Amino acid sequence: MIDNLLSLLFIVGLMLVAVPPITYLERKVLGHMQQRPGPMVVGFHGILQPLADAIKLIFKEDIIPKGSDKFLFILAPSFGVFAALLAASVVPIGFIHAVEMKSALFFVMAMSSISIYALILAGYASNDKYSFLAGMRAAAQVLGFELPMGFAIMAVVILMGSFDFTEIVKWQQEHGWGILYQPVAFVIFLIMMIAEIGRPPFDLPEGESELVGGFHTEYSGMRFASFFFGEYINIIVISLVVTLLFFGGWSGPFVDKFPVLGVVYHLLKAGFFVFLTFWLRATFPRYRFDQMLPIMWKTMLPLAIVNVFIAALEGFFLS
Amino acid sequence: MAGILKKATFSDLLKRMKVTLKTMFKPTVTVHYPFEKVKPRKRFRGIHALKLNPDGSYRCEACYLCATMCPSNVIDIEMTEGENGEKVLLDFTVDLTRCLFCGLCVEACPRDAIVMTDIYEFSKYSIDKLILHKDDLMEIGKYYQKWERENKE
Repeated sequence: MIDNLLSLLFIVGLMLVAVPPITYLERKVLGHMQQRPGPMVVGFHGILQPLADAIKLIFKEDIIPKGSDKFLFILAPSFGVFAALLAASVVPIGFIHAVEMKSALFFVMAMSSISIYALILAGYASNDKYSFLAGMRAAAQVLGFELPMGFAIMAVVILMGSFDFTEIVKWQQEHGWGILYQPVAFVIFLIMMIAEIGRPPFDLPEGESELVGGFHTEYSGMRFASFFFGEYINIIVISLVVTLLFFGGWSGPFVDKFPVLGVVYHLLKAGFFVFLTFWLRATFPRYRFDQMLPIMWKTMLPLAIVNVFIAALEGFFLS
Repeated sequence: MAGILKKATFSDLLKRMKVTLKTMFKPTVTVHYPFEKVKPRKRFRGIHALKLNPDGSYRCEACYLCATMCPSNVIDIEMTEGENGEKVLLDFTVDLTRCLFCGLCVEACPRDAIVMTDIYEFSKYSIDKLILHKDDLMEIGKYYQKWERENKE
């Protein structure tokens, strides 16, 4: 009981503490990919920039626009953080298991789907054309990526026989990493995960070039910041999940003797995927809406369905 | 077939990602502006200055050529008649709020009295301070003459 509570504190604390450095790293990586140094002024190489941003955001005026749905307007940003933290609580990192759950993977998927509601509610409640369009986009996007993502996960679950992360990692320790068996599921999951957390090139609800700022146009101060808290926590959670499903989670050399190494391996592997989201953001322009939906419905969904059959065959021959 | 293979392996997308990754390890090209400054070229047209003769008298003879040339009416000259009937400069005003830094006044000047410096940071908190008078222009002229000596080929 105490163990679980400490683990929960560790994981939630990690999520909350990791967000400011990740924003800093993102800006640094994006900057260097465009041959500029990124934040450079506050502290050594701009290391204190997240702190300066936090101070600025806390002291900013909190504006609730006229004619907005006040209750939903206040609820929406906290919704994102809340759903992201709930998803984080069931994800094990190495030997640290906060909430043991047989259907943990399912729970993560459910929670990350719920976090989209933050965008939809914010778009609806803002009483702003652009925010409303962004909310509509988020709603259409969620229909697009949920299905292929679900089928990609289904392939993994059929192959490994469990929704429980511990079981999934155990299977991979026996048979080898999941990506060796399910490369197609990995690619589909990777693309859909970027759509799910609303990162470029699928950041259509944000769309700062055509929708001003999308769903967060009317938000300011800490409410604005909590959207990004939710988004970055989602990045970490989804990166952890993709390592668990396809890259053996905390498995690696000498984990049996030193369980701490498992945590390090897991965080390093997940760190690569966090970096990947920055990398994609620096590389690709945003998809147009009429380009994105065909990708999801016409390409990814049939591929994912066929892939489920392949996974079933693989599972049949392995057992 | 080749097209499908290209799409399935994401080869073109991976190529682009390679470019960004390579760029990440290149040195940055940013100039950290308030801390570092780019030195303007020699013919850069910054704010105006009035040069003085070596004996300290005004070079400007109040001929009004620069004021006539100016396309946006920046220059305003006040003069009076001196003891021997010559023109004497009373005030020379340059309104930087209207100036478009074309350099026509400099080209028009027959005495090389009005010149353009390499100063490009002249923002002020008050709009009246952007109207430079004779004394301000003479001050800048001292800076310009020092700069001119240092930058002579």
